[in-house]
Amino acid sequence: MESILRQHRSKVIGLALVVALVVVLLVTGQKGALVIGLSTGSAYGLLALGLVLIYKSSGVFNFAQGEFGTVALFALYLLDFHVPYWVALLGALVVAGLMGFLTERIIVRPLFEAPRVILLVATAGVALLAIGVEIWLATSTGKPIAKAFATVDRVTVLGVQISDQRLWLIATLVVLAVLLGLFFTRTNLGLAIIGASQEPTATELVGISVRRLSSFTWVLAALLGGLAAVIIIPDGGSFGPAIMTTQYLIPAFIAAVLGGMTSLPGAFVGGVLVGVVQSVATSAPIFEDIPGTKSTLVLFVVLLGVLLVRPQGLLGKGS
Amino acid sequence: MSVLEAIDLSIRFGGVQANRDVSMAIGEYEIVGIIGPNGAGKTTLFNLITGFYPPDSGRVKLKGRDITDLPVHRRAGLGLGRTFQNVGLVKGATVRDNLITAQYLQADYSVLGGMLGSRTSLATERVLRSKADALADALGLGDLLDTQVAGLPYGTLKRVEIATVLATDPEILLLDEPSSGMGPEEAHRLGDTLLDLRRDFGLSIAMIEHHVPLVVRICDYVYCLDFGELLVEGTAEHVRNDRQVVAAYLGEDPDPEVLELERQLDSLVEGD
Amino acid sequence: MTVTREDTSAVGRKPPPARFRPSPIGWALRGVIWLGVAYLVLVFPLSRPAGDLVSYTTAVCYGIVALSLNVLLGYVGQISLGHQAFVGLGAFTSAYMVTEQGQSFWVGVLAAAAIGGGQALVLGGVSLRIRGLYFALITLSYGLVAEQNIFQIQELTGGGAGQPAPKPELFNTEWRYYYLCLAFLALVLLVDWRMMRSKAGRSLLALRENPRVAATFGINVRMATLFAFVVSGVFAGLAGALIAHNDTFVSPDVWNFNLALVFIIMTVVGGLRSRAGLVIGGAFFALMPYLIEKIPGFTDLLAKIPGPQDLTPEIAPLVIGPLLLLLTLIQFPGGIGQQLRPITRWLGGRKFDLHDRGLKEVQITDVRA
Repeated sequence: MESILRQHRSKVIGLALVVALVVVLLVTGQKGALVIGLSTGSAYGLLALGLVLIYKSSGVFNFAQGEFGTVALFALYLLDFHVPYWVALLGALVVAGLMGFLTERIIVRPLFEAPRVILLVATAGVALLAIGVEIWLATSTGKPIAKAFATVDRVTVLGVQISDQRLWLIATLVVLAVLLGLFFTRTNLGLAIIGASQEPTATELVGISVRRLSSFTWVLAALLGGLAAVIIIPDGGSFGPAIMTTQYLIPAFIAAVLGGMTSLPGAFVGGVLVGVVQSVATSAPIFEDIPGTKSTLVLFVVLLGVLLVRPQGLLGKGS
Repeated sequence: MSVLEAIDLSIRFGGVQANRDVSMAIGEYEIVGIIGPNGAGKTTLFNLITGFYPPDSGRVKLKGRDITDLPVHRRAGLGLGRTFQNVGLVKGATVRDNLITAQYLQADYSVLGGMLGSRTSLATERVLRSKADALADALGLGDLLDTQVAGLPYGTLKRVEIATVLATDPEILLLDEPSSGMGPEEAHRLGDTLLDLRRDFGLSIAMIEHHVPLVVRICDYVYCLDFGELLVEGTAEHVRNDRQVVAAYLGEDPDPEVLELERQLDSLVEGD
Repeated sequence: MTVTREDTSAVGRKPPPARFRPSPIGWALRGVIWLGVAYLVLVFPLSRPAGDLVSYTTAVCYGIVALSLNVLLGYVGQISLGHQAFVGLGAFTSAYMVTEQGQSFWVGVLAAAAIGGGQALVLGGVSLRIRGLYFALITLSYGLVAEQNIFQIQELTGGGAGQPAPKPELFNTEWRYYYLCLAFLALVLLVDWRMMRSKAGRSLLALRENPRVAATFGINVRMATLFAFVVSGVFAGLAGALIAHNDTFVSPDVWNFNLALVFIIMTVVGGLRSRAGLVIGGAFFALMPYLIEKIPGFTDLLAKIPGPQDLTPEIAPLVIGPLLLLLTLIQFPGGIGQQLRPITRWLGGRKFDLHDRGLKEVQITDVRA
């Protein structure tokens, strides 16, 4: 029993944390926060999956992950005028994938050997460029966007309404998390991607094109980013320039880091954690006196606390 | 009297016992060789002695003083210098800059004074610079002072590294495979250089080496490690002929004819 | 390879090449350029209206910010995605000291520099435990906390309208204040220059590339890191105070994540570890909207670019800035500084060498967590 515990230590910690969190919330009466947290957390988790994917393969934090999504939204909006909604959705994903492909080709590849700081700044540049263009093209900051599923109150859990769109989000997240987890541990392609990031020369020597792998990974991450955006944002009814980056990227980053940045289930757990903390921080009475946006400070403290105690993140492997 | 002593050093990394109860000592002005197959834990021993990891157990003593709990930079201040397997230099800087940076502990002015350009700092900088130039000249690197380190050929890098570690004004030098990448003639000259340096700078030296003739020629005492443990110690001749040592390198009890052939080859190279 | 015995005497070295000395014409040409630069920086602003001077002063302050960020990014290799917090808190501190505490401008500036250094010290301490990418996130989060929590404290920010920050008595016109800020910039440049030529600077560069080797040189890597953070923070706090009194009031809204990215961009595009490049980079990004408006015909050119709305002076920098950044990173990693190097070396009295691009950037320790 003990050896099993030690082997899956990180997963045990994650599970224990989740259970502890649920208990705390139920006991303190913050039931609503739990559900809201799960709901928004899934959004963060989905975006975090893309971040972890890029980090595992290129070793860099992809600042442009949010904008893959915003660009997809713009595409969805424009296409929706001309083709049926589901076709527009697909088109939006294609556009996102294209952006990921171009980013990898034009920006990431030349900087393959550069220090990771430089690559991080470069992805920030891509994000900012996208945002600049979006601001230029969008003549207003709030544009209406249609959703895929109209029902807003499909389920009510612990006093909180959950829409169809949200359920779709959660389902997608769970399915993707499982699929990607299996992909990286069981398939040859997935293992090749991990191998390429750690030992590019050896990978080339065995006949795998590291460049093609890199393109594939970035396209996949962009698709994840686009998917996250087209599921989450329409639920709110409107969108504008930079919306994914301003509202979701940084919590997603925190989610990925809390989860350990190398662990896909970690991204999911991290996302939920961030969602719950945000929601509790905003409503719980003990945080009333914090000036400004309470969740920002609370998240910072949680992040700092976790990293100081466990520098590799909650579910990450120790270095 | 030993200037440096390692006493029963042990350290474990995950599942591997990298060093187990390793003890060694360097006497004053001695040149000590540390040999053993790859993975025997030689560099780990150096890392423990210089302070890059704390040992699980055991002590390190420098001139009788227990330094086991001192951080790396404090040990440098006590006269302990070391080189690295993959060349420990600031590759983005010039040769001269490396030599000046290495004299950090001799830059006897305050940081604030340096930032404000005090007279002491400017005068001291001039002194450090001329010392750097002199050291470079002494090792035949005078023409390379303004060259960036990255891009120098490997053999030259090794010489620059030796100059740099000398700039730290050490009393005890730990050299990690100083002859790697060198052919037999270069290694021979390295041996001469080390003997000269010992004499000119008053050094005590320990070197991790694979080049047997070099070890035999200049080492006063040799330690052989295998699988993290001390196998044999003694004079160079004694250790080199020890059956356990040979077995460790070759993996089995060797053919005496092969041994004899090896010996003859060695003497050919040595020019005896 | 020929075998030669190592000559251990000092006789072996060739005499160093004679120092290059410019010809009289060379001196004259250099002098003219120097005079031109001096005219642009010192004399030209005298004839401009007050509003323009405020922009010029902002440019000078951004130059100081770039130098500050360069200490972390360029000298030590640490990323700071929340640098606007250091600058902003400096601004608020100085404004607070002058307006709420009745202190003089000089006390305000000193307090701002001290607070800047203090914050940076704490973050530096965190950086010793949390590395690379994770630390980048901490700085980012801290920047957000500054924007959304610290700068929302009513006493500090004077309510929603912002905290007033009047100029000092002796320098209470826009022109005089501009020269005051220029003097501060010169001071920062001097200190940065001297620092890098002394043991502190060398230890930073060594620890950036190879901390283990730096330790064997006797360098206390932890202390050196903290030192770098403090220097960076002091410069940033100073810049913040100067900005505050330039705008004559400080409001919370501008100190957001977008500003943090602007700071990063201008520092990288300016050119890491190149003082001339950094100052030019900071000034350029501060003056971009101004330049777009003032350069004759540029606005019309931009308007011609097809799109649902015109690329106005407000929007154009949002596109031009990132484009420049990406161009720098991919094609010209040393930024403006690297491109200008032949010219700056020439101006310093050396021979003009078109291919002198400085020391090659070496692959340094990853920011990988």
